[in-house]
Amino acid sequence: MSKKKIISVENLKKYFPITKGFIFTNVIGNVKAVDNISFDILEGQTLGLVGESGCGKSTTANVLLGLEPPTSGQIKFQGEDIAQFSKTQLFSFRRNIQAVFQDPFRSLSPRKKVKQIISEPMSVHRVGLREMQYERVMELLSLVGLSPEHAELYPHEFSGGQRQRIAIARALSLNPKTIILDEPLSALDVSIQAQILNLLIDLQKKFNLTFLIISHDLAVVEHISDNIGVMYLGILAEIAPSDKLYSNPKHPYTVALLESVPIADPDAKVEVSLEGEVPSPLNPPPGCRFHPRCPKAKAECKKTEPEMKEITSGHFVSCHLY
Amino acid sequence: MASQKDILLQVKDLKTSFFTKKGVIKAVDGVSFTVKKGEVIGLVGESGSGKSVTSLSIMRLVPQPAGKIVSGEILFKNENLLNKSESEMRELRGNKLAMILQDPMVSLNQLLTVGYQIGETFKYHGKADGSLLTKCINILKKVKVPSPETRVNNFPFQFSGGMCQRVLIGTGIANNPELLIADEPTTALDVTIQAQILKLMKDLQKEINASIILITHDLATIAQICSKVYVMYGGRIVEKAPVKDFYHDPQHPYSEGLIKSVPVLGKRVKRLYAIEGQPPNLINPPPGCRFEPRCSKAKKVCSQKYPPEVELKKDHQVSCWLYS
Amino acid sequence: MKENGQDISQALSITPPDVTEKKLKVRKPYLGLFFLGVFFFMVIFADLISPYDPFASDLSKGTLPPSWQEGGTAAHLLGTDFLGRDQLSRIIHGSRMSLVVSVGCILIYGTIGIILGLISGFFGGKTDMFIMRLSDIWQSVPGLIVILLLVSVIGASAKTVIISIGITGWPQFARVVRGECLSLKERDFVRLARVAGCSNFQIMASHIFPNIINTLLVLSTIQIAGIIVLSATLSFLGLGTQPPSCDWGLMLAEGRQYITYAWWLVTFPGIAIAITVIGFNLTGDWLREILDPKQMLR
Ligand SMILES: Nc1ncnc2c1ncn2[C@@H]1O[C@H](COP(=O)(O)OP(=O)(O)OP(=O)(O)O)[C@@H](O)[C@H]1O
Ligand SMILES: Nc1ncnc2c1ncn2[C@@H]1O[C@H](COP(=O)(O)OP(=O)(O)O)[C@@H](O)[C@H]1O
Ligand code: SF4
Ligand code: SF4
Ligand SMILES: [Mg+2]
Ligand SMILES: [Mg+2]
Repeated sequence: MSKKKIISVENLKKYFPITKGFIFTNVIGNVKAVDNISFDILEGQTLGLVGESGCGKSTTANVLLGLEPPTSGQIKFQGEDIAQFSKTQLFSFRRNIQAVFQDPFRSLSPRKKVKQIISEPMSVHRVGLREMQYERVMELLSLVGLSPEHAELYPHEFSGGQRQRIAIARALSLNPKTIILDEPLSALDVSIQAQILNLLIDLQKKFNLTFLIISHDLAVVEHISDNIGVMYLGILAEIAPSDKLYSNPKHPYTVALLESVPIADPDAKVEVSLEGEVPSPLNPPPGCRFHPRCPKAKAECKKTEPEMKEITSGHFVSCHLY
Repeated sequence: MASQKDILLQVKDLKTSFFTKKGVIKAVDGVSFTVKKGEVIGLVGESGSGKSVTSLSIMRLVPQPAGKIVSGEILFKNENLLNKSESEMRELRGNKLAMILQDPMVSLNQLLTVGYQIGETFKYHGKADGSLLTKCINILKKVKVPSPETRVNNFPFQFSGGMCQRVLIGTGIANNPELLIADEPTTALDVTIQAQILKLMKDLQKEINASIILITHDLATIAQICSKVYVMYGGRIVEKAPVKDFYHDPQHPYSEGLIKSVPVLGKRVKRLYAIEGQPPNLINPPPGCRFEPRCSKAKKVCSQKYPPEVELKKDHQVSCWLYS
Repeated sequence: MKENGQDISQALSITPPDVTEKKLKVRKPYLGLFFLGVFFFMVIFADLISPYDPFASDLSKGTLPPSWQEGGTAAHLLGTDFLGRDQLSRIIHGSRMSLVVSVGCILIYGTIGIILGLISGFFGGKTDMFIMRLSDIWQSVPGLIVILLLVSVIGASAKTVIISIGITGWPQFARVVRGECLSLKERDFVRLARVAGCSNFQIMASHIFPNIINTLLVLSTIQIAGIIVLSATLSFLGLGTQPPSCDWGLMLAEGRQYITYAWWLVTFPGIAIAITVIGFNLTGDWLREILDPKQMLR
């Protein structure tokens, strides 16, 4: 593969301490939201992250976005460890990773006009003069399929799909290399989801963007991603090119997850292959975290945690079966 | 035609509007449909198409004071619910007519135990006898909450989203309702939990033989448990079809677009079909077909007159000028 | 599922955010706005509309009753006080003092409250705990003690009133601001502002503050009513504005000695205070209803 790695995450951990006490607090436990995950994203490609609620997808995104400091581990951007960056380097590096979040009703400042919303990142990073910024806003609006009049309106005057377009325009304003999309379609209607999905794919081609997309909708993720990572309780259970993951899932959790996806076809009935619910990330089960729900669990699974292994090129699984 | 005896609910030309400062929102604008005994109906449509308002109208729970049922009839076992007094309705709700809502966390009172909230439904309908606790535990067993004997004394915040939804389904079916309306019961849940809840609903439906109206915007959910699909768009039903016809041979351009625009796992296409344009505005809707601005097959008459409903074959009706 | 009606409408009201159903049943604001209109009219045109210089005394015309009562003259509509100063003119000019004092107080404790509230809500953790404990302690010290202390140090005057109320009142503002800030900072647009590179200060100033202005407006309007009463009380007790200023509280205090035979000396300043306070309260309630009631309900 000739493509360059743009983001590499190595042994990333993010714990949220649970504290007790008033002034002299002491830590009584850790929510292990992300517990030792590693992956790479290649330039111009899309990595999808799926998994049940609370498995650490958004936390991973937040750490990459610099919204939360990692507990440990490395994040490399184009081969450089961002922990080594100076403050000013970090500030200008942040331009390269922008984000779009789930709820377009909440992700736009309610008291700002669309043009202010879209140009804010440019003002913060002092890109261009005011007139140039305005021109750029116009350009961005047409890129995402809105018209110039929309610049003077407030977010509440738009529908959900249009707001998501505004959010995308803003994310593009600094010409980032990477966009992190955390459930960008979940709050949208079915007919609008397809519009936005197509828009994202078009923009990716046009600007050679790299995406990290998080979604609970496996079909959406499969549609847009080159690689898919399946998370369970803070770890990556499996990561593989999307066609391989779908046609030949290895991890028992991936298999179960794929089986539970409802199919829009009355002839294909879904089986419930996963009973029970996700255990608390506060004290995850010992050994393989999935063993209490795993149909194929062995004695070994309860004791030792499986390691990530590459079983075919680009297909990584962490399970004792392999 | 089904015999009159089989019909549990018949909604005739229902119109419900919200009177707001910005104008009259015709949330439901002439909706007619029937639900037979023991049938599971799916009501699909995008948000704002009037699904929830239809169901709230049936329950006579349209938000006051802005909302009002303007006209129409709702015949439940041949009695018009719109002529019933509030106390008669209260007697029906939670008893013969039950409802489950989207967000289990909002629908349960966080300050009362789960058992108390299930018990309430019995008490309220005068069915409280000595063994109330046993009954609550039985309900929890029915909806497969693990260790119901201890869980009955828990508070909702000690439950996960999926478990709360189970409890809500439990309160819904507690009095063996004849009609259960489930408004987006699985939307807030994970796929794995969704599958569990859908299975539970399917099993319970067989057990108590209730009719269910399942409201959702998720086509896949409908395919799993419904036998008929009613498609709503802009406050009206545009297509009524048996579930297989709907998926394999949709007739209305909107239904067709809807099905084509959902990515299907394992069937990757180069580019998804997308219905362009925005959902309709329900204030001062145009006189013609609501879908006209977004429809690729629109004709001249489409923007002038609302298309009549035509029956294409048994149980399959469409409102579109392509067919009349 | 008996009280389901409410739950359902609650659940539903989350769904359609574009609908302004709440604006339907707002009480009409006319009375409150009318009272405030009268008040501000007096403030702005005091020099033009008051028939006399409020400080000019004419002992020969001392304690005249209102014009409609026996012994009153048409020249002094609301009568005169014991020094022969025109009551109407003094009441009109007194409105200015009320405004200066109340706005002064709001400015002081609003500024302190907003800054501390923003810092507390935004940074959270130990900072938050420190500021909140401080405000607890502050609130538990009776305001009157602070005022007495200040009076004894810098003497009684309008300035003292402003400073003392100003530095005692902030905890309430701080709490409200902190609450709003806590919920706003978790909102996605604030997270996106961070992603865009905004500094903490930029986020507070341009994303959080604009969204709490409504709340502050309502709070201030209602608080002004309280301050007017409080400052009148202080003046009445001799701890506030000193003679010969025109101040409604002071006028009450001065008239009190003559209450048995000159009822108008306490009645009219009393009415002026009541009308203004009612005006601010009604307007505040109305503002609360029209400006995003959902936010206020919390
Ligand atoms: N600030 C925080 N403090 C404590 N725990 C947190 C915090 N943020 C997240 N967590 C916990 O970390 C775990 C992972 O959360 P995260 O938001 O990453 O999940 P997710 O995979 O994005 O789920 P969803 O699909 O619901 O968005 C959860 O158990 C969550 O409760
Ligand atoms: N309480 C309300 N006040 C005013 N309008 C409402 C209210 N509830 C719903 N509506 C309007 O009615 C229409 C249909 O809403 P709804 O039935 O909730 O749609 P959905 O199909 O998503 O369930 C929407 O335009 C919505 O804005
Ligand atoms: S390691 Fe064992 S328990 Fe874990 S997924 Fe593999 S087989 Fe199942
Ligand atoms: S009536 Fe006309 S506009 Fe409406 S769906 Fe049919 S063809 Fe399209
Ligand atoms: Mg998340
Ligand atoms: Mg709805």
